[in-house]
Amino acid sequence: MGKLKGFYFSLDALLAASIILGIMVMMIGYNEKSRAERENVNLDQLHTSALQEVGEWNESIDSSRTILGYIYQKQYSGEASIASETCEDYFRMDENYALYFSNSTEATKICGGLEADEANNIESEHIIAPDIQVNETFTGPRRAVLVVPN
Amino acid sequence: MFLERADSQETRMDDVYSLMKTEGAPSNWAEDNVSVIGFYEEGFLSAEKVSKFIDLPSSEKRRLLKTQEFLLEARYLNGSLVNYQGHDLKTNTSQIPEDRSVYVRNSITVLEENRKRVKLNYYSWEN
Repeated sequence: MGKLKGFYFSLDALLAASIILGIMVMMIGYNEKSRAERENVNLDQLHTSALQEVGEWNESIDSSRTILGYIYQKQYSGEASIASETCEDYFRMDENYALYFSNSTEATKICGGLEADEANNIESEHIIAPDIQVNETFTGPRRAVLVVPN
Repeated sequence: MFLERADSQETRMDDVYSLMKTEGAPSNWAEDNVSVIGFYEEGFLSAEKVSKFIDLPSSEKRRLLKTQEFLLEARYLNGSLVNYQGHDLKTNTSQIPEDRSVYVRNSITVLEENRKRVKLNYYSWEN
């Protein structure tokens, strides 16, 4: 009888310890989740590039296009090096990013050191800006995609 | 149960944060008529609206953000605080606690007043 009581007592203690441990793990998990999430706000810069006029960002450039529109125009009017330089100057995220213009059949990297097919975990954001045209026509893929490591 | 409570708090905070990205209600809100907080104007972050919010009484700020403790700030990408008409865009609250759950949201956006990129940081936590 005494042995049985002891067994139940031990079982109770084990159960209580498991519950306390479980709650602690959940609390720690929640803390980490809340603090760590959405670290990569750099993806937002794809949207800012479609909002800011390039001339407001860099006064030496005389254009009222958005930054994204300007990069697109340069890329598809024979001035790809200017597109790449402007892109690098604007996004400035070390090498851990890449900007592509893409559609279902092609993806042209404009700037950045991240190879999307190299990284196991990536996050991306895409946008189709209204002013990414050259001479009022779209001459390249219309979708701009910003890729960063997850 | 704990996770359910945490998730519902997070959803509530997500809703508040989403509302911050609107113009608010009414869109030209002032201290005596604001019903929904919003810091944007035509897609841009308005330093004027953030500054107006910082100047609201503490109880009003808590009511609008549906939280007791919070920190809201706008910084340029180089880390310096945005200053609007002599006022830093940062709420004057206590330090972010290290020992409890803190809701964190950051976004990079464009400031209406000077069209520069800024990071809007929002933290909230329970007492």
